[in-house]
Amino acid sequence: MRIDFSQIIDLTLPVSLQLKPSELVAPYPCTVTTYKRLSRKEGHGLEPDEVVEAEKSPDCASLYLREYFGLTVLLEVPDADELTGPMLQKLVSTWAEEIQAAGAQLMMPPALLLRSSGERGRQVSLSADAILYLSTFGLELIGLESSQVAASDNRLMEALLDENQVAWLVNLDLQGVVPKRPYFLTALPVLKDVEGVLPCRATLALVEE
Amino acid sequence: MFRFDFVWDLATSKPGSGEETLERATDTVAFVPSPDLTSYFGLCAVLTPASESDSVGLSAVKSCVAELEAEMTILRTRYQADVEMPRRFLVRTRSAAGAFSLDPAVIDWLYERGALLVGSDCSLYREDGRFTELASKFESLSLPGLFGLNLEHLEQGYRYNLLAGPLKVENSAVIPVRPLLVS
Repeated sequence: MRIDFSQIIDLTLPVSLQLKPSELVAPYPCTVTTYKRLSRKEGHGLEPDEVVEAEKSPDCASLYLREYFGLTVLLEVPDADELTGPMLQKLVSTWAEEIQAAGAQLMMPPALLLRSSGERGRQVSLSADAILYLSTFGLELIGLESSQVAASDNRLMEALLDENQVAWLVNLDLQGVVPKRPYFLTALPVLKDVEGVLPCRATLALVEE
Repeated sequence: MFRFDFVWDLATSKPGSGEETLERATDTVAFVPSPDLTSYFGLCAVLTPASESDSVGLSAVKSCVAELEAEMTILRTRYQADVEMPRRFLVRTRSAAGAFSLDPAVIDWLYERGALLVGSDCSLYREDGRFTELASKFESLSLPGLFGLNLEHLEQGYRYNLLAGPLKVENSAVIPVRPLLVS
């Protein structure tokens, strides 16, 4: 695979420079992601002191920023108010069958973007079982067009994503993205020393297989 | 899947920045933003010139580029490698001896060579809050620049990729950015 940086697709909604990150609340006014410190992430096999050192070292960014750049795919989801686990399961099964028919095997990318198959502007909202289903794939980041991850109990759904080590990205413009095609996503939280919800510039580059 | 052996966070630290407006929350910024995002993504060279008095001058930067070109010539002739000089440059001016400035003539020279972007560890502002002479040079050339980068301990080379899309902001020449360098 090779990343082609000669065309960049911008997924971002603009932000005001007068915004204070500490005051960001849902529904969010711009494209934001969420940053969690390495000490609250699992699976890196680091000792407590090593975690602190890794966060101080700029060359360890592959550990503390790994969710925010890498391979991604857009899936179009059913036109519904809330995306449930069974809906997602069916969607992923159909995708896996398509890939198998082409002689390959489905490998879930670490980041997934979701867009409604309904009318333009229809926002996808995640249910708790959809979040749990996605986390079983070891997903690291989920990206949505909506201004918050869930229409109801948003704070709880954000916490559920957090518990399952899934970063989230909302307020994306996904209209120019081709479904089921691999892209290279970059969506780095803009500030270095702040944990929580932060504005970012979300972009895609084409990936040549 | 992609695997990067090397991922470097080029943002500088600013504790407590979450309480400030985005305008003041980071010293790592893009100046003279380009609507064409391709300036901020792709192959990038890191130059680590020796300082001359309190400034990194043109001759030191030319030496660095010549070293990289010599390395590439060997790869092309001996191994038929398909290598080319990137059009994005990050120039380190800080060293164990202290922080230095960058001669604006360097920017002119890199611009004439077709640079799409030049970044450095220099500050955008003077102590009195006005733009430095270096910043004004970027403005006069309409060349996208990155200021306030953390380039410590980076090795000179041309096989890096820059990921540095600045925030999407309207009507501002100075925009916060979280740049990464990967290889």
